[in-house]
This record gives sequence, structure tokens and C-alpha cells, in this order.
Amino acid sequence: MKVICQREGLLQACQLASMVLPTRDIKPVLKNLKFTAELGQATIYATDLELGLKVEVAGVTVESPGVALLPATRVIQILREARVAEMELEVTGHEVVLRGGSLEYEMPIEDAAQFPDPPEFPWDEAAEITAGPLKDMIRRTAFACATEVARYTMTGLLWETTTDGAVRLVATDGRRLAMTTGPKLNKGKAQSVVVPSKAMNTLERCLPDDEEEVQVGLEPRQAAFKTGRVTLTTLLVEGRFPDYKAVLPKREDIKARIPLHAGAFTSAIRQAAIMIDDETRRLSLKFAPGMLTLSARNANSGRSRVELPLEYAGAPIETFFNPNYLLDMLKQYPPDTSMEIELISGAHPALVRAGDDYQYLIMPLT
Amino acid sequence: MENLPPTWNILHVDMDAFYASIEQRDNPSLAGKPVVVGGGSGRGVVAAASYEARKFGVHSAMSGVVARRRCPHAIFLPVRMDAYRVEAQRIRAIFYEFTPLVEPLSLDEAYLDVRGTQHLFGSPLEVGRKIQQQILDQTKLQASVGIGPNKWIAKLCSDLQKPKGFVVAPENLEAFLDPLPVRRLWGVGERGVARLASLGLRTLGDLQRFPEGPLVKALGSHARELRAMALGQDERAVTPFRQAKSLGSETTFTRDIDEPWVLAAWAMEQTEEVAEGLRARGLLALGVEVKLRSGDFRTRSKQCKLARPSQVTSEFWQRVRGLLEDLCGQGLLPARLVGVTAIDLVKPNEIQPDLFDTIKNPAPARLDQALDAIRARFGGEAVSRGSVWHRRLEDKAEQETSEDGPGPGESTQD
Repeated sequence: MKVICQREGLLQACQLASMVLPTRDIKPVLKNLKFTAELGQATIYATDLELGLKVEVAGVTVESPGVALLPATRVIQILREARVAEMELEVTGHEVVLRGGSLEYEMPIEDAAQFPDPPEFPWDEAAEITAGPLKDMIRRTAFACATEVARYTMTGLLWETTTDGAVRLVATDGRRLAMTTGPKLNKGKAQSVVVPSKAMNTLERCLPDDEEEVQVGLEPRQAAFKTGRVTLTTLLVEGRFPDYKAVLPKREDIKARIPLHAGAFTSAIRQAAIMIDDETRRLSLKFAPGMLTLSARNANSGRSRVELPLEYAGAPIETFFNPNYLLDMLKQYPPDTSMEIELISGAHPALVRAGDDYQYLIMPLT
Repeated sequence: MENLPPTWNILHVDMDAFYASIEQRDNPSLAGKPVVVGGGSGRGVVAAASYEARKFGVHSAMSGVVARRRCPHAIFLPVRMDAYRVEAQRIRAIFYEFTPLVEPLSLDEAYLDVRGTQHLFGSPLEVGRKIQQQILDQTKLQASVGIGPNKWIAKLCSDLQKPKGFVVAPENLEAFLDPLPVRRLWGVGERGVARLASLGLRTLGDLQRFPEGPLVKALGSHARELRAMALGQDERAVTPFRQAKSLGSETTFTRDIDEPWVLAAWAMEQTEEVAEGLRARGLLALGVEVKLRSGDFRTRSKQCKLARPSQVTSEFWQRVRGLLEDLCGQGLLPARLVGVTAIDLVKPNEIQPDLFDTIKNPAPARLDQALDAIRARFGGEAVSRGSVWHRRLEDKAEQETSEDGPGPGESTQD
């Protein structure tokens, strides 16, 4: 195999693919990137056996096709340090050689057959959705996923497609829940799958901000996404996602609807949380006519009290939250975003709405 | 003394002969008699002695043999730690009525910082009186109280007129401390007394008057602390209670164990013990850890989070079983030791409730309650899970056939 690559293009492809490198030591060969050169094009593929990412390398000239495993960390280092425009990648009898300008690196050959191939995917079935809005949807929900293995089904995002093709994403760790509904797929059927959060976060980083289309394929056990030069395939989380509809408050139960500005609310929470007890993380929010009072107290360091005027005329309600759960959500929105918080009582989950298509539910502390 | 200096905010409350007093209270026939808790077998040490026994020179941490020699007619009783713990919790609850700044030192003593509570409960003097009285009313037990500007002085005061003492440090601390012997100093034992004596220092007054430079030269950096104490100074703040971070049980076997099911049966028993311990203390664990030590002393442990904060045996066991299997797969068999520890303990009011937890399955928790009640009444082995029972059965058979050595040793650590 012999290929001439533009250094920038190869570096970008390697960096993108390296996002899926396994974080744990599951199989040594997976610390590599698989470089495949075919007539006229080359791809980089990385996988952790659950999630795979294939990136088409921009600006290559394939002199002779072939396959090579590249040690990810080293090759990215080389490409970052090299100050040349083009590099040549060649597999000789004994080595993988990367050279350009006055640089030459030789690395031992590893058996490419040991490296799994990207799964086949029936792209004919795939639907399309706009990249920019999907990127926002993922960003505003994926942070709420569980990280504990013990909550396995919550480590993924629920991807629901309604009969008319509208996509809804739901993420929860049991303490808070983020839900958003976005643009429609151009075709498809009602479906409901749980996509691992690592796959969704990786996809979010690969997606462009613009109106470009993303191809989406959902199968019973795997999902795939394709945009520009990138193809992402992932196994799905098996098991039942919790019944999120059952915990959403019913419209008729809501006792208070209070408008808030994301920026002012964020500042008030951060100001009050300075005195929070690190073990209990209890922040008190007292909603009273015309005023929200936030306070925290810590047996060692003292207490805080922050007032935020608001438009509310109902009965006073006090509730306690872990401030991080509010801030995690608030930082996904610009400061001038108008939101609304809906309360039943201090003991019931509170619902924050941003626009018509975003809902965020938090369980209060007792 | 009604007008305390404004910085006299620290209380030290110390129960008088706590364990022994509980025994005397619960069994009126013991009142006025010398009672010794612990050390009865002759091999252990004395955990507590009533004031009647102390007259004969019996004190805690003394070996049971010596205690028996000094006071042969004393009534020796076994330690009933659970009963003492219950009383300690009642007493602690009284403290928290007056201030959140409570630092327990052990079951029977604590520091309290009552600054800023004057408008609610009166002066520190009044608070001290109220606490002493409430403890007596609610538990029929006596406490001694010391009040001063810091922890060292408060503790010193509570000890000066035991039992039922109530001592407030006077404003002139130096004069107050002057005649006291140096062994009163915190952290000064027999050897320390001897070293100070070699410098001619017998009382705190001697220390006050000794220049700091030469003292540091003679005793090292520790000298500065001693001198500060002798002058009545102590910068340590009252640090509120940090509850135990873990609760565990581990067993070292008399012979190494090769069969995974036997190990699992041990781990099961430990899991039950740990979960029961959490229930008894009203705590929940966020995670669990399993430890395995091989016959050749390689020790590995693995931990994981529980699906939700729990004190339910079966919820622990689901995780413990998996962790133990993982460890057994690491070539550690035959094993010499296995242990189960509940980690990241929290109180129920410190938990973030779960959105989806509204429909709980009450069955496993009810089973635990029933088992706890049976064991409390009929003893630890009155009822057991199948695998544990099976293991015990094999153990007994083995003990009958091989005569060498005692049964498996067990240790529980808090």
C-alpha cells in the first residue's frame, strides 16, 4: 500500500475517529486506527466493539491500495508535530512508514485481520434529518444520561420516532430527565430505540451546525448515522427505558407557572450555591409573590440568601434542588432564553420548559 | 458566674460511667453495687466500670484479670453495644435540639459549639444546664458538663467534678490552670509527664512561666502546643459529625477456600450482616465493595455503585455476587479472606429521591424486617438463607472430623 495524504486532512480524520477509542483495555488491537486505501479514496476506522466511526480522509492520492493499522496516539502526535503539507504512508514488507519532508517514522506492522470491520448497514432504508437541529437536540439532552452501570438502560438516550416522522430524544439518570422534540425525518416508521450516550455524544461532535442532511438508520439492534465524510455505527442499549411519560406532571395538577430568564436564574443559583453543603447539595428555592429567594447553608461555612424578582402571584412554594441539576440544563441555553418553571408542590418533580419543544424534569430533594 | 465572657461558647458533655450506668438503670438490683462491663471472661479488657467499682481501682481498658483481683465482688456483665448505641442516639438528638455544631468523640461524649444560639435557648450556661437536665429526664443517666472558650478547656472542665459535674471555666484562665498537674494536658502520658518533670515542669503554671524558646529546644515543636494549652489556648474548631463512610465485615478462614460456592455463602452472610448493620443505624449505602485475599496474600478489591441507595440485603447481594465472581476469575483461589463493605453511607434525608422510584417493591425490605426481628429475638443463627445454612452444615461436619484448631475466625469492622 502506498498513499499520499494531505497532513491536515489525515490529522482531522484520525482525531475524529479517535473519539471512539475504547477507554478501557478491552483488546490491545483496538488502540489502533484502521487505514484502508481503495481506488481513489481512503478511510480511517476506529471502534470499541460497540461504537464504530469511519471517516473518509480528505485529499488523498492512492498509488496502491491496501490496509494498515496505525497506533492512534503516536500517529496523531506525528501528524500534529509535522510541519509539512503532505505525508506519504506506505506499507513495506516489514513496516508501516510515514514520511514527509525531512521526517520519517517506521512502525511495526500489526495484523489488520485482527481488527473488526465496520458492520454492514442497509442504507436504502435510511431516513434523513437536518444536522443543525439534531446537534442541538443531542446537546440539550445527552448530559442527563446516567453514568452508573447499575442504571444500564439509562446510560443511553431514548430515540423515538412518531408515525409522522418527528423525532423525540429523552435522557435521564433517574434524578432528572431531559426531553426534546425536533424536526421530522423525511420518511420512516414509528420506532423507539435506546442509543448509547457515547454514540450520541460522538455524533454530536461530528455533526455540522448547518442545514446539511444526516442519514439515520435504525435497526432492532443497531443504529447508524452518516453525514459528510463520517459514518457512525453503534449497537443499541438493550432493555426497557423507564416509562418517562408516567413521571411527567399532568397539566391539571400544575399549581404554579413561573417565567424565568436563563441568565438571571443561572447567576442567582451560582451565587447562592457558594455556601452549599457539599454532601447534601441542598439549595432552597422559595417562590413567593414577586420574589424567588434562593438560599443554602453549610454547618461549617455559613449561609447564603439571594433574591431574584419574578412575575408570580400565587401561593408560596418552597422546594430543594441539587443546583448542579439546574445548571447542567441552563448552560445549554443562551442567557437571554425565556423559560418557564412549572410546580405542583415542593415534593413533586419540577418541570422547566424552554420553548415548545424542550422539557426538563427534576426530582427535588426531601 | 452568670455573666460569661462572650467567647465561652464551647461545651463538652461527657456521660458518667456510661455503659455501667445503663446496666444499673436497666437492672435496679445493680444500683449502688460495683459493676464492670466487659472483661468478664478474664481474657478481654474492661469497657466501663461503675463509680462503686472505681473506688477499688478498676477502670476502663484494664485487663479483666486485674479488675477481678482488685474488686473480686464486682458484678461482671457482657458488653451490650446495641443498647448503648440506642442511648447515645437519644442523647445526640438532645444536642441537636440546641445546635447543629456537634462533634461526637465517642458514644458517650461530644463537643458542642453554641455560638449564636443565645436568643433561642439562652446563655451557654443555661444551655448546659438544660442539656444535663434533659439527658437525665429522658434517659435517667447522668452527664457532666464543661464550658469554656475552646475544646480543650471545655473537656478539662467536664472532667473536674465527675460525676454529675458542671464546671464553667473562670475568666482568668491562667490562674485557673496554674495549679493543675501536667498530666491533665491532652496528649501527655506517663512518658510525657516524666520528660516535663526532668525540666522541672510539674504544673501548668510551671509551663506558663517557662520561656518558649528553651522549651521548643528541649521538647521539639510539640512544646508550642503544650505551652498554648497551659495558657488556655486551643484553635481547633468544633467539627460537626461526619458519619462513618463505610460499614464492613470480613472473615479470615482457618483453611484456604477453593470452592466458589463456599466463598459465596460466606459473602452472603457478610452481606446480610452489613445490610442489617445499616438498617440498625438507619443508614443507606450508595455502593458496595468486595475484597478477596488469596492463600499467598494477594489482595484485590472491587467496588460498584448500587442502582439506588439501599439497605436491602437482596439489592446488595445482586452486586456482591457479580463482584465476587469477577474476583474469583482473577486467579485468587484458594482464598484466605473474603470481605463485604457497604461504602458511601448516607442518611435517608441526604438522598436525592428518584423520579422512577415511586412504585417500590416492598417485598425484599419486608423480608429483611422479618429476619431482623427473628434474629433479634432468637439469635443470629435462628434463621438463615439456604447457602449460608449449607455452608454452616459442612463446617460443622468438618469440625467433627478434624480436631485441629478452632472454627473460622471472624472480624467485623466499623
